[in-house]
Amino acid sequence: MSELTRLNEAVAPHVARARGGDEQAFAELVQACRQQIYRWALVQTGDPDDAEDVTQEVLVRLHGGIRSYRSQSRFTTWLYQITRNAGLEHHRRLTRQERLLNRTRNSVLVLRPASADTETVDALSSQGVAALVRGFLTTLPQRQREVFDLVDLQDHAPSEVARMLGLNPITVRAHLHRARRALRARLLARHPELVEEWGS
Amino acid sequence: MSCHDWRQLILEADPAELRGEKDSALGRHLTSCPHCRVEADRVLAGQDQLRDLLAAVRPRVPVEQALPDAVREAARRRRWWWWLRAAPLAAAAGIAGVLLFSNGGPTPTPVAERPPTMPPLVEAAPERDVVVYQTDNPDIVVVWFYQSNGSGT
Repeated sequence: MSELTRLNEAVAPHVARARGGDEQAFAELVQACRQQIYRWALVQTGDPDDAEDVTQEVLVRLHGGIRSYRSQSRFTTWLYQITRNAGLEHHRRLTRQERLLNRTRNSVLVLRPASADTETVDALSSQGVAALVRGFLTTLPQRQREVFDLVDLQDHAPSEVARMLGLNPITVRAHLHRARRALRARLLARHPELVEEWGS
Repeated sequence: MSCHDWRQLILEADPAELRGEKDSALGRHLTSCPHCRVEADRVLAGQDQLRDLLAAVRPRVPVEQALPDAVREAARRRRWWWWLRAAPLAAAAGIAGVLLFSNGGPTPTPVAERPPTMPPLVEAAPERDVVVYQTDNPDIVVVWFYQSNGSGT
């Protein structure tokens, strides 16, 4: 069972009550979904501060729009659309120069998870992983990041990701292959015969 | 195919294929080639670490602060939208008011004019009253003088 399937099942009762105007249910819904929203926003924006802003914007929109959710799609699919739209609007507001500055300044912040899980922190201290994450968030094009995260890291079917992103499934697979190639080439960079042009 | 060719496939392969969970030519090669197996394992380890990292990231602002802020902002936006929707109505009312009063206010309803009072043609003497009868013949008018106590003359 994928992370998002679990999340959908966990939030289903909160969603139903929150649609009826139950503020407590809305608070529980936010509690359950906020990390996922932040993760999507981080993958989309590539910047922790931007992701924080986008996450907050999504909560505002969720509060105003939860009554309009009609259960025709999975809740996480609907929530992803809201996150994506908020991220795109945020992206438009920033100038390119600001974005580059923020990325350079804050890319290390991604390596500081809020949880004090020693095992995770140890794993993250590896320079190789740090470089991988930086490469993932700052070098891969946004669409490739989104597709790779949803398919390879969150175990969504490419056809479902195509629906979430409003893309043709073939296009999704093309983005996925490019993202895999770029990331894995980075991972295997110690083997010059395998290195592909990063981001090609 | 050489290992170089297989490694090109490793770069784009499905993780399930690299783990040997799917039957494929690449999967079979990975079971027989220790060098390519090492590369595949390195790819899988890197992806697993990336997965763990992204699963661990959390917003810095605690939810106890973010949630009330979001609810307040949502309420502010609803008020704003309400005003935005009411604005055209208010503007229309304002324009109508300006147009109405810029011409000196509403036009008063004309009051029907009373015909001017004609001076009496016949006046009775003191202590007497008079009644004037119009007959069918326009040339004949009957004028009746009588005493105010009711007795005629």
